[in-house]
Amino acid sequence: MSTTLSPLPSIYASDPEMQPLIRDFAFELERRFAELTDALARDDRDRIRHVAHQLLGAGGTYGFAVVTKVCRGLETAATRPAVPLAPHLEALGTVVRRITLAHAA
Amino acid sequence: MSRKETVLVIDDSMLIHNLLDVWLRPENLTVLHALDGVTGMAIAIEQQPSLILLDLVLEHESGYDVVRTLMECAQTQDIPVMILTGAADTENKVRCLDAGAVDYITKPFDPAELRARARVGLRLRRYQELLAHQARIDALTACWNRGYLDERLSSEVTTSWRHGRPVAFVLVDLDHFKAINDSRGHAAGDRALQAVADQLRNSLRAGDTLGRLGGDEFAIVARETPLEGLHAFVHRLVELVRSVPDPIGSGYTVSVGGALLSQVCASSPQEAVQALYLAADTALYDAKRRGRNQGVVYSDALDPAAALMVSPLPAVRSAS
Repeated sequence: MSTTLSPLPSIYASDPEMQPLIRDFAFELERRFAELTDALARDDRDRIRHVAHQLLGAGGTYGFAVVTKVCRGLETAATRPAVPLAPHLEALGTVVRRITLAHAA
Repeated sequence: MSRKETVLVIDDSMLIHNLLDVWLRPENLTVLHALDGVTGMAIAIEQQPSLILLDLVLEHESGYDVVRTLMECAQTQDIPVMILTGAADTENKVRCLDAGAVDYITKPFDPAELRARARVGLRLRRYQELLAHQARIDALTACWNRGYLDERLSSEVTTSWRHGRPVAFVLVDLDHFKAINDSRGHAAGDRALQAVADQLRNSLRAGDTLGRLGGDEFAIVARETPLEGLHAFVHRLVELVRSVPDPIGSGYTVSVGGALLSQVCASSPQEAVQALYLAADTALYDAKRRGRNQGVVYSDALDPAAALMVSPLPAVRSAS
C-alpha cells in the first residue's frame, strides 16, 4: 500500500521574486540528496555532515523549516559513529519528494 | 555623491549566494561573492567592501580563522564582519565576536532581519570612516591636519624614493598674521586663514595634498613636480593668495618655500622627510628675509642653519 505524498510549498512560494530561486533550490536539493545517498553507501560521514550542514542553513532560509530540522538531526547523527543514518536520510527523502511535488515537478 | 556600498559574501553554498543577491537587492548594494576564505580575503583586499557576511562553517576552513586573518591584515581589519551561522554554537559565535566580528545572524534567517542587520553593519562602517576622516581634518580650514599631512609626505617620499618620481614639498606662511589678529581680532584672523586655505586648495592638482601645520603655516605635498614646475607652482601660490578678497584690510600675502626630494641628501625615506622639511623651511625663511610676499625654491646657495635659528626642525611622524 503506498501513501500519497502532499506537496510542501515554501513559505515564500507566493513571492514572485523568490519563485525561480525556490525552483533552483528544489532541483539542487534533489541533487544534494543523491549525493548524500552515495555518501551513505560509502559510509562517508564527513561528507554527509558537511552537506547536511549546508542544507540545514539553506533549507529554512528558502522557507522550508522542516529541511533545517531533518538536516540538523542528520548532521548531529553523522558526528556519532554508532548512530545509523539511514532513518534520517529516509526522512529527508520524503521531504525532498514533497518539495519536488510543489516546486520542481 | 555617495558611492554605492559593497558587501562581500563568503559562503561555501551557492544556494546562500543566490538568495542573498535577491534579498539584499532593495538595499541598492553591490554584492560580491566568494565560495572560500582565501578567495574572500583576496576580494576584500582588492575591493575594500563596506561589510563582509561570512559563513562560520566553510568547507575547507573555519569562519573563525577567516575572521582572524581579516583582522590581522591592515587592509581589511576595519571592515565590519558579520557571521552567518547555521550552528546554534554559542562558543564559536563568542570566539568570532571576540576575534573582531561585529555581529552574527543565525541560519535560517529572515530577509527583513538580514537587511536590518546589514544596515547596522554598513552604518558602523560609515561611522568608522567619518571618524577616521574627521581625525585627519583641521577643523578651522577643512585642510588635512598635521598628522595626516605627515603620513602623506612619508608615503609619497617612500614611493618616490623607490621609483625615482619627482615629489615636492612646499611650506606656505601667511604674512603678518599676528598683526591681523592683533589689529582686527581673532575672528578676522580665522577668516584670513580660511580664505587662504580655500585659495590654496583651488591651486592643487589631483593627488596633491594640502595640510595646515598649525598657526599660520600650511604645507603642500605635490606629486610629479620637477624643478621648473616647482618654481612656477610657488609663484602661482603667491599670486593666487594676493587675489583673495579682503573686505576690510589691504589683502593677504604669503611667503612660500619649496623643495624637491631630489635636492636633499638622505640615506633613507625617513631621513629624506626630515631633510625636505628643513629645505622647504630654509627656502621659506629666505622668502621672508627678502621681504615676504614671494616664493623661493630651495637651492644649495641657501643656508639651512639660518632657518633653523628661527624655526626649529619640526618632529615628523612616519607613515606606518
